[in-house]
Amino acid sequence: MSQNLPYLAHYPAHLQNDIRRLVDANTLGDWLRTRYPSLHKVANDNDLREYTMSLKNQYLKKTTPLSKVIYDSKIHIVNHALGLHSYVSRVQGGKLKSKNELRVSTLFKNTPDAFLNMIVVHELAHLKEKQHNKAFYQLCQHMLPDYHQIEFDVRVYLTELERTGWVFVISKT
Amino acid sequence: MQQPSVLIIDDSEIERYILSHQLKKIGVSEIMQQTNGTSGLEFLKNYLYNLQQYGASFPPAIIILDVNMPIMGGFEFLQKFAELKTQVDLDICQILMYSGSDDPQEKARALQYDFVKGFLIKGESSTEELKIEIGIT
Repeated sequence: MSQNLPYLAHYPAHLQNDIRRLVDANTLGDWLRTRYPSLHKVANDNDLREYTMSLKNQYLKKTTPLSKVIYDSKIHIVNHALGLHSYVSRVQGGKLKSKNELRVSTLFKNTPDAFLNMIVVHELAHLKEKQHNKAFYQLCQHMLPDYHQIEFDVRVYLTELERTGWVFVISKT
Repeated sequence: MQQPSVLIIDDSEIERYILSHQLKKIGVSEIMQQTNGTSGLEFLKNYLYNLQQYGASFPPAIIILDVNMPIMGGFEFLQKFAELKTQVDLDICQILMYSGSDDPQEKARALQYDFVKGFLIKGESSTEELKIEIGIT
C-alpha cells in the first residue's frame, strides 16, 4: 500500500520509498527506537532555556538576545514544516519593540537528544538568517554537522507520530 | 528445534532491518549481515575466524541475497559463490534471492544454480512466506 508522506515530500523518491517499506512492514517505530535508544533529559522550560543558551553562547553569541525559551504545547506543525520560531513585535510605551522568542513544540519533549538539538539549532539559526537559504543551512551544519540526516529522521519521527500516535513514549496528550 | 542461521546480503540498511525484524519474529536468532556481494564472499572465505565467532551457526544455512547491489550484485555473487564452494565447505548454504521485481527471466537465471532455493519479492513477501522458504515449520 502506498503511503502518503507529507513530512518527507521534498526528499528524493528512494528515501521516501525506504520509509514506505518500513511503514508497510509495520516496523517504522521500532526502526526509530533502535536508531535512537535514549532520550534527552531536558524536561521543562528552565532546562530548555539552559540547553538553548549553552548552544547560543557557543555559536551565536553576538546575535540578539532571546527573551523567552519555552516548550509550547500549542504549536502545530503547520503545513508539515518544522517552523517553530517566533519574532514578536509589541508596543511598549508608545514604541514598537521586537523580541525574539524560541518556542519548541512539546512534541520534542520526549525525544532523542539529536532531535531536540536539531530543532533548537534550526531555531537559533533563524536569529541570524530569517530565510531557509544556503547560508541558513550552512549555519545549521556548523552547529550540528549531521543536521540534514537528523532533520530527515525528525520528519520520519513526525510521520510515525501522526500515523500511530506514539514513538518514544506513550503520552496522554 | 534449532532455527537455521541466516546471512543477509543487501546494500540497503532499511531492507536489512526489515528482514532482520521478520526473521526474529519467526524465531531466527543468529542473523549475520553484509552490504554487498564482495563483502559477503569475504565473510564466507573468512571461514576459520567466523567459525570461532559464530560456532555451529557458521556457515549460515540460509543466505538472503539482494539482486541489485553496488560493487557486486546478486548474480555475480552466485557465480563467485559456485567457485568458492569448490574450495570451501559451504554445502549447507542455500540461497534465497531477494529482488525488487518479479521478473521470470531473473528467477529462471537464478534457479539454474542448484543452491538457489527460492525467490522473495521485496515488499510483497510476507513473514509467513519467509518462514516457509527458510523451512521453519
